[in-house]
Amino acid sequence: MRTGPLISLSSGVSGGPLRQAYGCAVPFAPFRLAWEGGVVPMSLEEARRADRVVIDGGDRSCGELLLVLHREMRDLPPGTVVELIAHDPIAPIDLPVWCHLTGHRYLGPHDAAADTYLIVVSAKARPVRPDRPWHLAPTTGHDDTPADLEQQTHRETQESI
Amino acid sequence: MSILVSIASSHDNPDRCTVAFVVAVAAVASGQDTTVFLSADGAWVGKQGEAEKINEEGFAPLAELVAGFVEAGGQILVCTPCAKKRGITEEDLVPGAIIAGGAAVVALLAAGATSISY
Repeated sequence: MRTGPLISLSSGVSGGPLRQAYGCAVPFAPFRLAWEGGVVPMSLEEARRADRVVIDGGDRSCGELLLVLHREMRDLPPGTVVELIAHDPIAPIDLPVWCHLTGHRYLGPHDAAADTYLIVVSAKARPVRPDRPWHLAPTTGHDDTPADLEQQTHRETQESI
Repeated sequence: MSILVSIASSHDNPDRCTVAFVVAVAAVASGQDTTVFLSADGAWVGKQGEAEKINEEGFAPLAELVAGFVEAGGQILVCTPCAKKRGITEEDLVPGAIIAGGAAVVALLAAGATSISY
């Protein structure tokens, strides 16, 4: 059973219904505020239990699906857990790659809902290797994302591809 | 690092043109600095009202893809002689498009842009 606001985009992608409906007032728990300070506020298990924002990508695929994600996720507070409904059979391959490119965190398929995938909104995009854009660039200097998160995300992605 | 999507068709090959814009949309939605270069018959897409005439089965309407591309931060360059040949002027262009000479494209490529052509 899904919780959180249901955003349906099946009738079209224009207009940003999420922002119109909720502005920045998408409900989020206090622990998510810690994300702004660079602290990863939740474990995988916590993320699975957190309130969700549902984005319905419908039958869209490829760039059309990514455009929906880009538009609807860019103003969500970091740490928000998105449940993406996508009937595209290639979505479980595209989504971890897209998360690598954009810096969002891919948690994998929903364990109880078909054609649904979990993504945690990241504070900022992560750079990728110019020669192999499906891999994150090596980090230099200060990094506000703990290494264990990156390794965990990387491992999840590798397992998903 | 940026991505250049070169599109040289429109009404003459709506399938190819639409797929090209799907790729462009994928690039810009993935956080990449993305430019679409419209040349030859692709220049028509830069004119207001033309994309609305292309609705390829199995894809989102082209006008929706073009608007989504621009809204997500994509840039559209329209080949100068291609636009002139077709009577397309600056005033005719869709939002987010500009008429640009070959130098702009060469400058992008010389700066390391990766290009994919349709």
